[in-house]
Parts: sequence; structure tokens; C-alpha cells
Amino acid sequence: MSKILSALACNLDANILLASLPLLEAEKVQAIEWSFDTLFQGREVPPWFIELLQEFGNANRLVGHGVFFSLFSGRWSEKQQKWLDELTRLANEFHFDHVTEHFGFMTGEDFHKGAPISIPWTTQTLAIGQDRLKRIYNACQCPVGLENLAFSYSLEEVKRHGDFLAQLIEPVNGFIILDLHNLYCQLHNFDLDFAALINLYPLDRVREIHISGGSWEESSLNPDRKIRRDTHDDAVPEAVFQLLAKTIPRCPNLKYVVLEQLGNGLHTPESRHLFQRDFLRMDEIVQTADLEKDNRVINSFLPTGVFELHKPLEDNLLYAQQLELSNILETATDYLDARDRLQVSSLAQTEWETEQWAPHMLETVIRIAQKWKNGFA
Amino acid sequence: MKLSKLLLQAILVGATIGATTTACTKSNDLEEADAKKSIEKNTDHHGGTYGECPACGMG
Repeated sequence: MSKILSALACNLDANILLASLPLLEAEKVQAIEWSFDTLFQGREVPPWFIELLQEFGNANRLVGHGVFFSLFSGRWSEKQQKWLDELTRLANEFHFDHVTEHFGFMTGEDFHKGAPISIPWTTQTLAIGQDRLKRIYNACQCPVGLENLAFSYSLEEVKRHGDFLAQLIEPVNGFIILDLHNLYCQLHNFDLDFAALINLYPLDRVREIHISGGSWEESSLNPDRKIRRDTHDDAVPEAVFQLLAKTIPRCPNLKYVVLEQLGNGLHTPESRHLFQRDFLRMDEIVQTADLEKDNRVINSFLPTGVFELHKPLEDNLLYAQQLELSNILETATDYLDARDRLQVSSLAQTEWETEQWAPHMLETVIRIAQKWKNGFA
Repeated sequence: MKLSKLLLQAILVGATIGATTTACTKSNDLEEADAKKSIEKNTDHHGGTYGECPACGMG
């Protein structure tokens, strides 16, 4: 029997832990999601945090959520191999029920900093993504999944995202995390209807759902328009709870619903109270839906065995384009500067389709890349 | 899920000390000192922590 578990994104962050503690004490948290690679750089983990992970892991209720692998980097890097080695070590130390990563490549200087942004859907990028997912599976030997991206350059890209995810995970019999706040960003930023967009996702492949809050940002290009960003720094909007209630019944393989919020939005007693209230509201929706769910496990999301892999696939042209795009985004003075530089770049008139990028989204991705370009340094 | 009271107390102590990084602790308790050290090591130069992330591309 499989039941839907209400989970928290729980990392080694004082504010998150203090906000979560009343929920943990009340035995409301049924699983936790840990961004395991945020602690890869030789940082110490206190024994009580390890015990917390082990408690949930031993109960088969710990899931790993990677951030920095950079799935679509055109060139294979030593850091990616180290990431896999660390994942293998952690998967032996803790029992992950599954491991996930984000779609996209990182914009930072070595592709392990910055923020994940999208890549064009081509046979080459599909092959690279499938190759990397097989390597992740070999490293952790548990179900592997990919999260839908909040950011898109264009409406066409939004429409293709679900299909691309489905093809990427197919060789590993993988699953997707459907982040409903990411979907909410897309609905707003591209003026879309939920019923139309949700049908473009492979809902039978959804094993995990994320909900979170975010923020609004002005667009200098269109003063009447506000951009929704997935900043994870505020309470969950009512609209996202409504999306959750509508989506759960359509996901027959759903196992985890996770509330995500960053510690920087949880400094005050009021914000922590809102976080706890959001969790309980989420749990209420989950429990109600779970009663109506047919609890048969339909898909294990495990491939038939370990993959025999040789040299990692690489694409030098893609790598050069990613470097060039990252540089433009991180150094552009504004939208017009970025647009002009893209027009004479190696991305112009290619499958990147930069000519079709929505101006307000180009402006947004410049802000994202510049916000995160130095990672945490 | 049920967690032991001991573990919940350890989380409270570790997170509380980590949240007040400028305060000196009077306690000589090794576990508390370790907890403080660990949280401080995981605090970035912007005052955030490494649990924070660029999220999902719109962070």
C-alpha cells in the first residue's frame, strides 16, 4: 500500500529547523526532503542532524534533492564526477527513497554556481540529459526524478517542457517532481490557463509535488506587468493550495507532497507561524485526497538494472554556447544590452531560438543569473 | 512521524545556538559547541545558509 506523505524540505538551516520543530514535535511531518549537495564542500554536519536524517531514512521517508549537478552542461566536469561519488557515499550512509535534480544547466562560472536555466530541446541535449540521469541512478541505485523548471524563455518552451521531461526520464523509468509554484509562475508569466497547462505534463509520472511561496517583481519593460518569481521566501499563496487540491487526484503515483521555504524568510515568529500554518493546510489537503486515492502502487520508478556506461557524452558547441550565454546574462547592463549581444552571439539563429524569447523573461533571467552568479561565496 | 524527545531537544539546542551566532554561550557542553560550530560553518557571507539554494530557476 502506498500513501501520500506530507513532507518538509529540511536542511541544516537554523530558521528552517526552528520553524519546523513544532511540526516535528506534533508528529505531523511524515517525510523530509534534504538538499544533500548543499553540504558537499567538506562542511561539518552535527550529529543531531545526521540522526534526524537517519530516523527518516530508516523509515523509508527521506528523499534527496540535488541542486548543483547541472544536468545539461555540455561538457562533463570533474565536479560532476565528485558529485556522483558523494551521492554514492551518502546513499550508502542514509537510505534515500528517491533522489531528484533540477532540469537545466547552471549559469555560474563553472556551472556549479548560479541558477538553473533552460536549454533547447534537441537530440543532443536529450541524449546528454538521459546519460546524466543514468549516472545518477548508478550512483544512488534508487528511483531518480527531475523537477520542472520555473523559468522559461518563451511560451513555446513552456508548452514543450512536460514532453521533454517525459522523454528524459524514460530510460531510467524515472519520475518528475511537479513544482506547483513553478507552474504558478508559468501560468502568470505567460498568461496561461491551468487546465490547459497541466494536461501537457505526464501526470502518471509525478511521484512528488512541491509547493512554496515566492515574490513579485516589476518589469521595467512593462510597468503594468508583474513577474512571478520562485524565490521560496514567503508563505504559500492561496492559488497554489487550490492548484494542489486540483492536481493530487490526477497523479496516481504521487507519494510525497513537500513544503519548501528558505530560511531567509523564516526569521520572525510570525513567519514561522505562517510556515506551520501552511504545512497544516497542505497536510489537510493531502489527507483528504489520500482518502479518495486508490492506493495501489502502479510504478516502482526503478529501471531494470544498473546501466553500463562509458565516457560521458559531451557537446562542445553546446558548452561554448552555455558559456557565452552565461557571460551575457551575468554581465548585461539591461535587457537591451543582452538582446543586442545575443543577436550577434553563437546562439543567434539556432535551436536556442533566442529571437523568440519573451522580453520580460530575458529581463528576468538576467536578474536571476546576476543574483546567483557567485553562488554562496 | 514520531521522533525521540532527546533528538527533538538536540535539534532545538543546535538550531537555537546556530540562530544566535553573535551570542556567547555560557555552556561548556561539547554538543552545543559542536552544533554552533557546524551551523556557523554552514553560514554564507550573506548571512544565509547553505540550505538555501537558487531554487528552481526563478529564485
